[in-house]
Amino acid sequence: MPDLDDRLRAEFRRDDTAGMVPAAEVIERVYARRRTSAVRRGVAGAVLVGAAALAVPVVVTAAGDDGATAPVPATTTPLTPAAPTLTPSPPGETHVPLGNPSPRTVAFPGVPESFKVAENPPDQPFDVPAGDAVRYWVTPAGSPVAGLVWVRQPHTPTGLPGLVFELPPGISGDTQTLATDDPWENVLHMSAYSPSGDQDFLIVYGGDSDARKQVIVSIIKAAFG
Amino acid sequence: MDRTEFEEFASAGLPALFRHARALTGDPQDAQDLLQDALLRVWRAWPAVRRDGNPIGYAKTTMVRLHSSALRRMRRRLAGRPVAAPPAEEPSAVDRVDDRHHLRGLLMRLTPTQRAVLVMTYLEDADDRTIAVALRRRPSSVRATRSRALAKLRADLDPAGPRTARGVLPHA
Repeated sequence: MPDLDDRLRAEFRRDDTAGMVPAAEVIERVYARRRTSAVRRGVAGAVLVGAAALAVPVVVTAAGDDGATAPVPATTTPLTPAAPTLTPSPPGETHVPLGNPSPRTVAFPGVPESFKVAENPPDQPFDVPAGDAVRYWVTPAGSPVAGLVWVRQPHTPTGLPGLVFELPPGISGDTQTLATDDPWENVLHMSAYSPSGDQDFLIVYGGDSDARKQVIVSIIKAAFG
Repeated sequence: MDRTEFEEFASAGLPALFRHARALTGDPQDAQDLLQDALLRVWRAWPAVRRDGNPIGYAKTTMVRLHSSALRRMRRRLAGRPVAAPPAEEPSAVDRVDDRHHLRGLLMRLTPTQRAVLVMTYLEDADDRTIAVALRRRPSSVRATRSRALAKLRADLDPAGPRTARGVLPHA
C-alpha cells in the first residue's frame, strides 16, 4: 500500500474535470453576481440613508427636550446682547420647532443702550434674589427710570409685590411673563419663564409707573418677542 | 476596470483553480460555488491583484480563506445549501478495497481547516509559513493541525483502529 502522503498527493492532484463549468459561463456568472451585489449594496445604502433621515429628527427632538434641564455652561461675555435663539422661518414656510430651544448661554438681551452697567447693587428698598448671575444697570441723569436689575435663574422663589398689570398680548412669544408694579415703592418686578428652562427675574426701579412699564415692554419685545 | 485581462486570467487559470477548489471541498458543485466566490473577490480587487502580479495565488488564498470561513458556512446554511458534503458513511469492505474512494470519504470527515492545510501541503507544496499566512494562523498551529489530520486519517485507514476504538475485542 502506498504511503499516505503519496495517496493524498494523488487524490488532490487527480486530473478530474467532471463538474467544471466552461470559463465563459463562469465569468458571466461572476459578472452577474457582481451586478447583484452592487444592487444589494445600493438598496442597503438607500435604506441606511432613509433610516438616518428618520432617526435624526428623533434624536434632535430628544436632545431638545433634555436641554431644558441641562446645566448651563459659564460664560465669559456676560453682557453681550444675544440674537434670539429661534430664527424666524422664511416667508411662506411653516415653522415647525423641533423641541424646545437650547438654554441661553449669554446674558440677558434687550437692555436699552442708554443703560450703563453698574458694579454695585442699587441702594433701594427692594430685595434682589440670589441667582446664577446678577447684573445691575443704571441710567444717566434725567432718564425716565433709575435703573435695572437682572437675575438669571433665581435660586429662590421671589414674590412680586405691587399690582399686576397686563402686558400687551403676544409680545413675549413662547415665554411666559408675569409683571407687577409697585407705585408706592416705584419698583416694577417681572418674572419670565422660557420654554428652554431659562428663568429671568427683572426689577425696574425709579420713575413713574408708565415709564417703568414702557421700559419693561421694550425689553420684553427685544428679548422674547 | 479592464475586463479583458481579468477574463484572460480566469480562462487560463480555471483548471488549476477548479482543481484547488475541488480539493478543498471534495464536491464538484461546492467547488464551483467556491470558485465563483473567489473570482468575484478577485474581480473586485482586480487593479490591486494585477499590480501584485500573482492573481492565481491571490485566488487560491481567497478560496482557502473562504472555505474555512465560518461566515460563509453560515451564509450557505441560511441559503439552504449544504455547508459541506454529507459525512461519509462507514466504509464498507468494498470501499476499503477501493483505496481512493475510501480516502475521499475519510477526507470529508476532516474540518475545513484541516483539509485546507492538507491541500496546501500536498497540492501546492506550500511551506508552513505560507500556509499560516493564508489561514491567518501561526506556523505551529498549522503543524499541529496537519499532525492531527494525518493521525486521524491513519487511524481510520488502519482496519484495526476503528474496531479497537469501538471497544470490540477480537475473537480468540
